[in-house]
Amino acid sequence: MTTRRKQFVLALVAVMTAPAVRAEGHGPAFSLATPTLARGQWSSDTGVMRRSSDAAAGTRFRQMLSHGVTEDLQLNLAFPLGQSGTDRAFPGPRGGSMMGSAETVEASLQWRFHRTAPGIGTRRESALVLGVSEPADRLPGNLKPGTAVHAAAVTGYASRSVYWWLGGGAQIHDSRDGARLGDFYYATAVFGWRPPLFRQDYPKPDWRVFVEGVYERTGRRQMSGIPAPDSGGEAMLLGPSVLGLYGHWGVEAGVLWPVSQSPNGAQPEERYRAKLVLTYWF
Amino acid sequence: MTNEFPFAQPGSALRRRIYTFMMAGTLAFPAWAGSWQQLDQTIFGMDCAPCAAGVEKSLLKLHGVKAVHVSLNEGRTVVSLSPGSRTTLAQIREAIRHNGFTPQDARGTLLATVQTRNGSLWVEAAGVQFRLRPPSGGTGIPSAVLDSGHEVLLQVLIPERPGDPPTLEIVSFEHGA
Repeated sequence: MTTRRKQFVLALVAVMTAPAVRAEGHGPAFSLATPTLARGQWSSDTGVMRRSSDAAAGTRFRQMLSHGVTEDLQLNLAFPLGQSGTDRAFPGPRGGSMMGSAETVEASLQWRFHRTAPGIGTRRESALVLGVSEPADRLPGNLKPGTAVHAAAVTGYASRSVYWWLGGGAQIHDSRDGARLGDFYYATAVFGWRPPLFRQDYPKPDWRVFVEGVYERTGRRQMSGIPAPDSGGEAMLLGPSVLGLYGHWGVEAGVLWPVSQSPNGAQPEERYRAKLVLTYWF
Repeated sequence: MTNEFPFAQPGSALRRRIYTFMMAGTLAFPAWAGSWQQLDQTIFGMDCAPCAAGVEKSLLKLHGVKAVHVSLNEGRTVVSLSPGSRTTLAQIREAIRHNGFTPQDARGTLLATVQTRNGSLWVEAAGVQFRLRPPSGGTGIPSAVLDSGHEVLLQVLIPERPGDPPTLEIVSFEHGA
């Protein structure tokens, strides 16, 4: 078996996909959130996500450009900058709006359909997300999965001291040449807190910390129309993240560890998932 | 000796153009036209540094805006405007809404002449006419100042919904000679 084929096989058994579209920049690293850009505003997110299991690890680098069509409607375009390890060999998992499946180009719309501002620095809001992704290239094993459609909903609360969001969604994959990625369903919950030290006024630096929880359920992949036995399953992950903002710049970093895992087959267990994103608002 | 300034030469085309422009400006803005000097606008829903940066950037793009100060903790922005700025209160509030936040009541400083019409006091700021409500229990503006053409520096409260006609509540006023 060639090294590349071994890598592909390892990847197939290592990955339990993890979906979600999240608001990079303004919000948590892994969970769904509601903030959108201002009308006419642009932003750039450049990020890296690493995922490690007992058998393999993968890293992906991606770029996302976002535009506020209105103050409540945001358009995102995310594309790959490079992949390595299992991420090069297999297109899952996701890790936010910009961290769509590896080797895919993804366009998504975020619509904040509900928004109230009951006081200074506070908002209650809800949003819907709809995205379409298309593999940009063939993967090792000559695999080119079909188009995927992603839909999610999220609601939450933002203030100068406390944040929370609850959300969930699904990503459904089409099949192509007998290859089909497993559909996945997920829910996210996040609680954020801005320590008093970082509640100083603009333009001083603005930092906050989050505790994020992600539940994922992934269906079996299909190869040549046959479901792969060692694919898919359920997982619950939990971990901290931090968001730092200064003027037009933002940096976020986070790590998730599995709290429980129930793979459908004999896949190795995931050890951690880490992410770092640099954001600039134009 | 050549004059470096063409509009100083008698009958120059540039001088005629400038004169025409000044006349057009005089006709476009009535004698009692005033302008906002400063607006202190309360904002609900603004929680983070990029939110404040976005509001600041949007407001600085408006005509005649000299300076913008945004406070996240106080939920407000103070907009300083140049004399004669044509930026309206509605434009400032629209810029805030376009950033996804909710403008509330505001306080403003307005330099304008006050006129009486149908028993009410009126001012114009940046092309928009406002009815003035005197302070409750106050004496109001001296009659000598009304319709005199003298400018008055007014401190006013501007409700979230100014109404129709838009109404400003006088907090204080100053008038010179």
